[in-house]
Amino acid sequence: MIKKLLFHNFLIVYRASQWIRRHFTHTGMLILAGLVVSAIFGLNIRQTLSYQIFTLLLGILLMSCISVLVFRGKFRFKRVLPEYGTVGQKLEYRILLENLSPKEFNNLTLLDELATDLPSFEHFLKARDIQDKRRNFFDRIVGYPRLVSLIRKTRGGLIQPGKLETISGKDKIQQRITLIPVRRGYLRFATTAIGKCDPFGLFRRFKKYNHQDSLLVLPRLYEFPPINLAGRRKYQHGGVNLASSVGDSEEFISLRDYRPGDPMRSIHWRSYAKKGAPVVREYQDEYFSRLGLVLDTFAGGYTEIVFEEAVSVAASIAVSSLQQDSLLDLMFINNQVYRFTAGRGLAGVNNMLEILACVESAREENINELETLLLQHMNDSSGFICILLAWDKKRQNMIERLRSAGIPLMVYVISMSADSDGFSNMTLPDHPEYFQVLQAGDIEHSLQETHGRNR
Amino acid sequence: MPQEVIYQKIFDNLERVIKGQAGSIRKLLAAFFSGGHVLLEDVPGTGKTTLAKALARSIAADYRRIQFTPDLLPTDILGVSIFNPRDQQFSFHEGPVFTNILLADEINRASPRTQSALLEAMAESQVSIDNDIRPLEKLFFVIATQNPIDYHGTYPLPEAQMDRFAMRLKLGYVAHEEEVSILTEQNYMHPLAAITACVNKEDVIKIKESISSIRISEEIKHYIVSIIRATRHAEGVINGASPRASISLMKTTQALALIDGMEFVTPDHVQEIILPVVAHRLILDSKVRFSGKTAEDIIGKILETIPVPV
Amino acid sequence: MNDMKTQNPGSVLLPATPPFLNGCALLIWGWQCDFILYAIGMAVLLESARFIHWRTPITDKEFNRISDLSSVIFMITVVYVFATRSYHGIFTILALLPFLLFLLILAQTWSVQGNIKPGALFISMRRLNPDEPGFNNPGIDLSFPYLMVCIISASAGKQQENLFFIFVIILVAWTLWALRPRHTGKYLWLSLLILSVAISYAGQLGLFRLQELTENTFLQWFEQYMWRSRDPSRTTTAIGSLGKLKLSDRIMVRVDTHGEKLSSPLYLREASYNNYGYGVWTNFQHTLRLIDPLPKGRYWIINDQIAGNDRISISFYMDDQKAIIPVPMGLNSISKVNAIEIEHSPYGALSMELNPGWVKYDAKFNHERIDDAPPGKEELEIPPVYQKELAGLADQLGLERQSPAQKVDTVKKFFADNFVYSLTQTERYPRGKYLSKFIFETRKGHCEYFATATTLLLRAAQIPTRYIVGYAIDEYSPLEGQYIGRARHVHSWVLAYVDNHWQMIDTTPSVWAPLEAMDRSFIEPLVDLWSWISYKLSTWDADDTDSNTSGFYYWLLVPVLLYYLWRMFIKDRVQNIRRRAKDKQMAILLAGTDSAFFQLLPALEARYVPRKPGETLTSWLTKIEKNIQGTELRELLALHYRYRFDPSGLSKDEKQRLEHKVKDQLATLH
Repeated sequence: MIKKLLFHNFLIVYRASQWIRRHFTHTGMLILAGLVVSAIFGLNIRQTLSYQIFTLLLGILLMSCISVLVFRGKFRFKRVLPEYGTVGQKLEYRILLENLSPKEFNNLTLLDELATDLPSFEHFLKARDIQDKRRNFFDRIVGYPRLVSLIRKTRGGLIQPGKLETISGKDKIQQRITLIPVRRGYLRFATTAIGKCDPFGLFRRFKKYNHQDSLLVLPRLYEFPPINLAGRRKYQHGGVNLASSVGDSEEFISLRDYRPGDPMRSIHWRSYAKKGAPVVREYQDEYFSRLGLVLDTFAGGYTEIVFEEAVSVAASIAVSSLQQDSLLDLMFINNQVYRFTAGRGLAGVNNMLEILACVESAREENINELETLLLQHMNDSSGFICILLAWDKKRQNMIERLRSAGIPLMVYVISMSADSDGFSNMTLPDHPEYFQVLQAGDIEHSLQETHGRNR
Repeated sequence: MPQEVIYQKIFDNLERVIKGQAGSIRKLLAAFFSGGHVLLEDVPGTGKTTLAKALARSIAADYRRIQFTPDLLPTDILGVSIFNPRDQQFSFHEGPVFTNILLADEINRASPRTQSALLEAMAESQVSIDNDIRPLEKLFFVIATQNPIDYHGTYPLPEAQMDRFAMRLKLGYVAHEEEVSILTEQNYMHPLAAITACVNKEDVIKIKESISSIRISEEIKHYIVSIIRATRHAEGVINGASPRASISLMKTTQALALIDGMEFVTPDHVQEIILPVVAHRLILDSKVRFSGKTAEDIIGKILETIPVPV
Repeated sequence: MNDMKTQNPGSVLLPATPPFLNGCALLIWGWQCDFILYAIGMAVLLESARFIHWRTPITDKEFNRISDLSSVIFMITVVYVFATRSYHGIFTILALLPFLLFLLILAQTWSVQGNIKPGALFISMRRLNPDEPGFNNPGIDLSFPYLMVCIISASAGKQQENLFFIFVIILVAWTLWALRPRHTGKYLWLSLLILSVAISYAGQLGLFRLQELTENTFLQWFEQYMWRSRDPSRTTTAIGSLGKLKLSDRIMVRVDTHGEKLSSPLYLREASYNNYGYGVWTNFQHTLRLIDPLPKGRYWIINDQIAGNDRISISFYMDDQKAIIPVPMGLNSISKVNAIEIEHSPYGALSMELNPGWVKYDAKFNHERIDDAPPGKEELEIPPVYQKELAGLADQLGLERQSPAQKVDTVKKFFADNFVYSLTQTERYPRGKYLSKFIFETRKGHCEYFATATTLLLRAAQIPTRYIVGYAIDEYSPLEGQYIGRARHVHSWVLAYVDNHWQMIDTTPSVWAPLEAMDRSFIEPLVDLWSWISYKLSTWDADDTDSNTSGFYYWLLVPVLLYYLWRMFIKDRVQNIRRRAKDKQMAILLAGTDSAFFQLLPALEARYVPRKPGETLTSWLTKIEKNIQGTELRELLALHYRYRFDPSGLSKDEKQRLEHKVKDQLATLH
């Protein structure tokens, strides 16, 4: 009951603080603060002279607000967005702004806004925030910073307002805007607002325009070391497909005698000279490794955070693996089976990241399906990299069964809690280096630790 | 003939064949005169081959074209010593690299081994086969092309090798009117057929030699170096531009000044040519790549922050 | 001051203040609050940084520590001031604010960075994950906030209102001018400012009206319930209040008897009243007469007819500048206190004027002789509503036939035998009936009931009486070594005029003190300890006549300042920022920097659009060319370029041509 009341209060506070931050410049906030403080001390006129300061600042603020009451201008906007963004990485895009009226405008602020839906009470209760660990006790109990975090996540990004010095009549200019995406998936731009500042520089008045766009944000990327599964390089049956777009592969293995019909270019002249009869180089189809990247999507009772981190880990592994020369199969289940291959002349990292940007957790819990999928493809793959959301009995059994089938595995488990003691019994008995627990919110730190340990 | 006139003639010739690409042609010729090589990164059908051919014809130079395929061998490029059983002798058959203007088409389709064979030759201006060193032509200009879209079966040039190219240009699609006029012209015949030599090779070689006499002040040299150094610790850059880039930049700006008929380099020349010359040499962090930031953005930012000499 | 600005690229929130603005604000504050010498020193320390180019690097952690130190000083000051001055302390804190925040602004000014990270100021921001998305934490430049603090602090002084207003207008206008956005027209800005000042002035007049209105409505209420100062002309009793009478345990009075133990409670009187009506005792004849101290100072003789045999030292907490202080009855003199004024009323009330807070004074008295003014007709008046009943009671007790002394004893016995002490009043009666109910029915009540009833009953027996309010001191505090009087020790008793002298009568059952004490809260010992500490603190500087000196803060500041001075002069730490900037410039040989074009450039920039640092002259010129006629500028630029970037330079003729052309252009611009 109290929580609900607090929640509604928070929303009011949030909206108020947003309004103030948007409509007052830093100077304006300084004057506002001065106003409040002088009001407190000036309550008793007899005691101090603060009332003079109070009335002066009040007069100034009033004049500021009045002087921007009229804002007549017509503008047209166009956004030039890049292809993608990545969570946590600053992204710059441009807004082309056209002033349709003949009047010159000065001291403008450009505010590009993403669609913001304020969360419901239930959503707020369920939401967890990684940053909470670092907050102090008071903030955690009360929950206001958590609400702000949640609103930011739903919105998807933080945009810094752009400052326009001046734009002449009927002129076009270009403004650079910085955006930091906060979650993966599609970000929806909703409005662009242009604000005019008063001559004192305290208060802004905005004109809003509907201006919609969308931008795909890829999952957060971490630095992953190259994964070395003790798997065999298997002959890849895709040879025919590949060769048709790639041409004869060129792994040179040996020399053999010339046979009529061999192309002239493959004659090895040196050996010809030595031998006296034509000798030809022989090639063979390539071998390379093909890894399966398996993403556990059965979030079930586990929080959003764990799933998001799992997706980020998958994306990071994809980026690092595809830099080496191997094929990568991304596999996950969400109502149906998804399998997507990239690398070595097939689709690139970008496409895989796009898919990961939009992946959602499965509604029903059915880890057996995943097991079936893996067993199906065990013959094609040199090994599997499994990213699991927990280490419960079901998953342990699945991994056991896969290992007993002789498949090389690298297992990552994403976990929320900090204690590593609980994980000391989580390990693959005979190959502990192929099992790693990563802590949600601190993945890089966990990676560094094991990296150091393994050295 | 004065140098600007030579340039203008070549330029006009090329313009006849490639419409609406005046800026790119100017930059390409600047790279040509400065002695560097050019990488054209473009979608198919924008006139890359036509451009190379037209240039070769305009200066009455030799022209060869190599179509890179995945099974191309280094010997196919450089040449091979063939054993003649009758004479019991090896005779060297020169590869297409022994020419004046070489168009290396779709360089990203060949294996890395083959790519480096060509790049080595470009860097050294000579070829060593069977312990013989054979120098290339004095006037040697490579236009390599790369298709940015087709990833199937490609080996994109590793960034470390991109450094060998003085410039990377993108032609792109032309404006509406220009495309219409292309249709009009090509209705009758290919304009390439009408191109004849307007200057000769010696004139061109003379221009190339006079590049070094274009004056460049200390201040501008410092400006160039400041920019290049700034790329090394820019945010999101793993590897910035090398001193080779500074030299390339200096030479191409000198070429631009010469083209403009000036005897000294101005900061405008530097700012005009810096993106094609430096952007392809930066190696970006993968995270930054996936935030839509490009090398051009980074360099553009550097240009805005470093005060330009006035 | 351009090189100063480039030192803090991170502070985009608010820039640094323009030169001397902070200094002026400090001086105005010093003038208003009587800290002018300190203000001059502080202003010099801050503004001299503009001329001296030595700085010391201060890390974020060190800023955190400075901020924490400032907070600690702040808290100690707040505690001290509130302990000694109570509510009024808030205005003292206001006046002291520039001192308390000076460390931070000083550190910022003399540091290399020139700004402070928000983590230094807000602890909640210190632990945040640096990777969490957010635009890189810019440093905060505290100069403008500090300016605001100085201006508001200055308002705590109260000198010369009109002049102060003018100074405030100047400071605020200066601030706004420094922070105004680009492209704001001068005249528009000025007219807005004038309008603002006009509104402000109108607002002030409005405020005065408002305050008057508020005061008239609420003053009575305030005085009665908020302020504890005794009003010698009127006191409202709790007769007729429902519920339990509970007064706080707060220690109001301390009495040092110099080693003597009290055999019976010591009565300290605050005021005497003679007129009763509906729960309120009044004394309209009370007049205060000024008493001059003896020439040797700090000694006031109240009544030289009384021999001052008994001597006690009383400490009393004065709420206000001028208040009634509790003194023993039979007072001879008051001494050992730096009172500004002492006034005495023949009814026994003593008013002292002194700075608010704990005051200590010696009182010499003779407890056996009470020498108040003789009674008048008010001392025999009984309110009509009680006359009948009390006459009847007097009859009942047979008071008529007794001698005055006997009458007193009878009344005492009457109350002692039949009445009980109680703090609670549960029944609701009509107004004016409570006393009757007390006397005839319930027979239980608290001291005000007893005293009032006794007073009126004795009057019914033709004995003049007065109602006395004050403290009954009985509780000894082993912690303090003296007797203490708490708020709940406030007591009422009676003075009766018997046989031509005043006699003290207290009919309240003597169990009242223990009964009241039963209600004490369990944290009372702690609260008492705290009270003693703050009392001790405030009497520490009791010898100072002017309590504006807060000397001991500066003792705290001095070692800190010394420490930082020491740090600054370790040579390898100090950096001379000016020199480094120069070194960089010298490395490049700049040719042609004396080109005449550079005279033209600022004029063009001011007229059209300023040039960005990365913009070449050519592209900038292209931008503004739309607004200029003629191609003269292009020619000019070509010459200038040659002069600057061609190692061969210009010939003499060409140089002259350049100069002429520049002159022509400048002429056309103006």
